[in-house]
Amino acid sequence: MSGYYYIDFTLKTKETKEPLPIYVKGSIEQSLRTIYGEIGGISTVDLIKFDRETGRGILRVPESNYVKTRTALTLISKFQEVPCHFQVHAASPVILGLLKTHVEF
Amino acid sequence: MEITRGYYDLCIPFSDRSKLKTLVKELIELGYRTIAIEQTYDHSKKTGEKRADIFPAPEDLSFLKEFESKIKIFSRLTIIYTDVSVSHPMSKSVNLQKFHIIAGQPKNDTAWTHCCSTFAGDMITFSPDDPKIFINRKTYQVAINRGLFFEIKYSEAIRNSSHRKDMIKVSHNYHSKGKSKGVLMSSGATNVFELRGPYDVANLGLLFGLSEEQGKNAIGANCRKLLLNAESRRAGKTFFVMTAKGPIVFSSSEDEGSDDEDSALEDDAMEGLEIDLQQPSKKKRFT
Amino acid sequence: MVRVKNRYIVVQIVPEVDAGKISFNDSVLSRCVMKNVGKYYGEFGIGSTEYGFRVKYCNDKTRIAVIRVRHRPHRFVTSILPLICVIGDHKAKFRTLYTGATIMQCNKFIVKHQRDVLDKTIGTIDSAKERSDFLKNIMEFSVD
Repeated sequence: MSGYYYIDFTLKTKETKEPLPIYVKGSIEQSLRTIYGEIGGISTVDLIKFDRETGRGILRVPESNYVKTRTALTLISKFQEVPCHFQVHAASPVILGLLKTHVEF
Repeated sequence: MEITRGYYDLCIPFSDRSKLKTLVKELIELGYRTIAIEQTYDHSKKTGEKRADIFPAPEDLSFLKEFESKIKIFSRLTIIYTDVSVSHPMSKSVNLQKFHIIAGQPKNDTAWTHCCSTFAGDMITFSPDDPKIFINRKTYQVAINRGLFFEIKYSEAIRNSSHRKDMIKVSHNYHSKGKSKGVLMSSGATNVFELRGPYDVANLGLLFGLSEEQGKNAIGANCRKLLLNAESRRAGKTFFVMTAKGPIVFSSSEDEGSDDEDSALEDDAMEGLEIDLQQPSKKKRFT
Repeated sequence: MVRVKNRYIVVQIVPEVDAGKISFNDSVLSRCVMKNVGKYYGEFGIGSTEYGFRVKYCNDKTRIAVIRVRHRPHRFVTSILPLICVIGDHKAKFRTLYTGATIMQCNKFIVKHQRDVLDKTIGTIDSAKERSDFLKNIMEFSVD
């Protein structure tokens, strides 16, 4: 395929302030670095789209780093010192595959 | 035995009602269908007061009745202990019989060995506070053969970084000593932000040294097996799974009266059975 | 018979300045390696390496050490050894000599290696006493 995986996620926080996309990307990369370190955690994470109002976005990662990125995403507990959690709606190697989600069947 | 559906989360610590309600709502939204509310009892702390039954009675969970149609809720007791003498009161306890699942949390090596070989429970859990427990391959195998399961609580890994290291250490130890057989994962979450979706948890299994399949089983099939085992331990009966090949014919006229789901296999171990226990279901399934 | 697979890594420590006084011991070495595993492979690296990690043998005079790691995570350790440039308080590097599956094989290797070193250096020593001391130091091998 394209060699990429697309992850559709929602950032849920206690705070009502809308999160900035750059911080979202930063926190994902930060989590990758603490869990997998400088060599293991190196990967290109692209935040393709992010809707500030709902906190929903689409992430693109290389196929080989998909598992690592997803575990890192799961283990994020704080976003700017506020408890948060990333809910993954769907993940697919094709971006069209995100249209139908398994959680909302 | 009620039929349970996946996904399972067998460790939600008991807290106040409103908190528990929001947790259950979130669990339903994430796609869990069977959960267990956990209570803990610390045997290593001596209270001094003498009671007939040292174990607490299960909390009243009737306030969660509104979710009944969407989610199955079981009760679970975790016994934290260092001393093997815990098994004596356990054998006599009435309250213990009321819990659906009993988990042991050994705090040292001897307790761990005891937990694997003779403990009358369903699963073995650990806390990252004491990660130095030596895991013996033989006792691990004994535990697996007895139908015990090993639990990994992932919320500890989310909460703090040093706990995360210890969790990875212990679960990798499970992997190297017993190929991570009979491992199941549950949340142990005390607030909504520590809950994760079932697919995320299955994926997280890879971090804890499980394979892709084991990761999925850790929140699905293994938990179902555990609930079946727990039911059979409670009732002193055993369950069996029947696989039908071809059409099923009931030839004898006596059999016609009994329902398809009713065929009991009685073991000798009926003595400990409580009277107020409803006649346990006979597990016969056609797959 | 099933057993836990280990890997034993034989390393030589090469200090930047050849000062004979610099000494290394087990705890300094293991702390240094674990710190670097943490730096390059994060918490996952530490968690998977920590169990079964041990410096089995450390000879101060010959500067040879044997590190025991569990089979799969040994790749974490072997891959970061070349990246380490500070051990304890001194500038030094690791030179990986050999990776074996049993300590016996490592022992054989070390003896052979030391013999080679001996052959090279013994000609440069003049006095007989120094020579015998040197011989004793270099061929000692015991694993704790």
